[in-house]
Amino acid sequence: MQNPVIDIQNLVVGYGDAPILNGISFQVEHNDFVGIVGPNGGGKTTLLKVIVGLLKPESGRITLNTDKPLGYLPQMNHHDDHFPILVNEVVLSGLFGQRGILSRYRKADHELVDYWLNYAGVAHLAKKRFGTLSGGQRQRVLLCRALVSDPDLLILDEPNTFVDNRFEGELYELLRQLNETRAIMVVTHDLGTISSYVKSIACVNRDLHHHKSNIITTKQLEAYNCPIQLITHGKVPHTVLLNHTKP
Amino acid sequence: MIEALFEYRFLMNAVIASVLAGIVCGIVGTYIVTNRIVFLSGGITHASFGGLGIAWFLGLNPILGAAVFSVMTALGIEFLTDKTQIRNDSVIGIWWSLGMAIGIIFIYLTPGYTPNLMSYLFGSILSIEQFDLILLGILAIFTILFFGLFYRPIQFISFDAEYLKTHRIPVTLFKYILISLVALTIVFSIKIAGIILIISLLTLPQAIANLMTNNYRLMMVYSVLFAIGASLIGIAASWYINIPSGAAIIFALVVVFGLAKIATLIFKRIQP
Repeated sequence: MQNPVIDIQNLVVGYGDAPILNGISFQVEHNDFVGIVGPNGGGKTTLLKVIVGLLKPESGRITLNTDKPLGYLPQMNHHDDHFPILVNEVVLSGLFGQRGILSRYRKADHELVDYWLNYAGVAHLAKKRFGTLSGGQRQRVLLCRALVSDPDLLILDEPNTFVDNRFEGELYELLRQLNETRAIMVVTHDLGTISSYVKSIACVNRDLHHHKSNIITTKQLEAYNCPIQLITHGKVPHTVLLNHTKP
Repeated sequence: MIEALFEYRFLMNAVIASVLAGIVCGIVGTYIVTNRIVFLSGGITHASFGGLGIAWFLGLNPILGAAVFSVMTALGIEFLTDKTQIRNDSVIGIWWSLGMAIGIIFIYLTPGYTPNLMSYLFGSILSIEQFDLILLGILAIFTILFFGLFYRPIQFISFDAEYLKTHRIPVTLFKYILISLVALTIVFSIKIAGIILIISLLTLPQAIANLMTNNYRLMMVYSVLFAIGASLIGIAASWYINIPSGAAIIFALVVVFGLAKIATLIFKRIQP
C-alpha cells in the first residue's frame, strides 16, 4: 500500500473566531481524482493555495509524498494581452522549479514542452503570443505549464471558468487520461458536469468531508454542511444521483 | 555639431550619457511597462524631488540625495503593496505629491543661491558632468549583468508572479531588487529628461518596441535603441534650438510611436 500523495493533518488557515479552514484532515491517494466543492468563500481556493505554498497555514501539517513539483492551474486571471511571451515560453516556465534560477533551458526541455502542447492539441500555437489566444486555448496552455514537470499531483482551480462547453468536455476527457498516472484535485462550482469523471468528492466549508464516491445526494451534502446547488446538464451521463433521489 | 562634439567636453558627456541612459532606461523600462507599474514609476520619479531638495539644503550631492530618497520610496511602496491591503495607487499618489512638496520646501529654505529648477524638472542634457556619467556607467553594467543573468525569472515574474511563487522562487526578493533598479534608473537619468518628463524614456521606447516584437529580449534591445536615438535628438534640440532636452525627446518618441502604430495597422491589413 502506497502512502497518500498528499496527507493533510489538522490544517488551520486564518485565525480568530472565523478561520477559513478549521482544522481539516484529508488524504489524497496516488490514483485519486477528487472533485472539491463547497459554497463561495468556503475555503476551496484557500485550500489549494496553502497546498501549493502561496498561503501559510496557521497550524497543521501537509506531507507530500512525491519528489516532483506539484502541477498547478490557478483560477483564470487576466493576463496582459500584449505581454511579449510566446506560448511555448509560458509552458517552459512550468519547469522553473526544477531547473533553478540560473540554468539555461536545454533541448530536452523544449521537446518536453512540445510533447505536452501536442498532447493538449495546441502544438500549432507554440510560437504565438500568449495574449492572442482564446480562453479555452489559454487554459490548455496553462494546463501544459502545470503538466510539463510531470507532477504526481495535479491541482486545478475552476478550470472550466470562461471556457465553452465543448472545451469543458475535452478538458475532462484529458483529465481522465492524466488520472491514469497521477492524482488530480479539481475545484469546481459545478458538480454536475464533472461528477462522472471524479472518483471522490471533498466538500469544503471551513470543515472538510471527504466523500469517497462520485455519487452524492443533496441530503449528504447538507449533512456535510455544504449547501451547493446541484445542476445537471442534459448531455452529460448521469452517474450521479441528484436532487431527484429518494432516500 | 560633429566638430563641436570634440571641441566641447560637455557635448561629449551628453552623448555618452545618452547611450548609458538609453541602455538602463530601455532595459528597466521594459520591466516597468510589462509589469504595468508606470504609475508607480511616475510616483518614484516625483518623490525623488524630495531627496533632491533635502540634499540641496544639507549641501550634499542632489542626485545622490534623490537616489537614497527614491530607493526608500520604491521599497516602501513595494512593501506596502506586498504586505497590506492598502490600495497602492493611493499610496503612490500621496508619495508623488509629498515628495514634490518636501523638495520645494527645502529648496526654498536653503539660503542663498537656488538651483535652476527648470533643469531638474525638464532636463538639461548639456549640463551632465563626469560624476553623472560614472553613476550611469556603473548602473548600466549592473543592469546588463542582472537582466542577462536572470532573464527568464524576470520575464516569468513579470508575466505571472503568483505562479512563480509556487515554484519556490524568491519572487519578492526579485521584486525588491528590480524596483530599486527602477528608482536608480530614474534618478541617474534625471538630467537627460527631467523629473517631470523622464517617464517618457521608460514607456515610449517600450511601447514602440512592443508593437514590433513578441520577444521579451528583443523588446529590451529595441527599447534601448529607441531610447538612445531619442536622447540624441534631445541633445540636438538643446544644441540647435535651445529647448529643454526632455520635451524634445518626448516629441521625437511620440512621432515614432505614431508612425510605428500606423505601419503595424497597414501591415496587418496587407497580411491578415
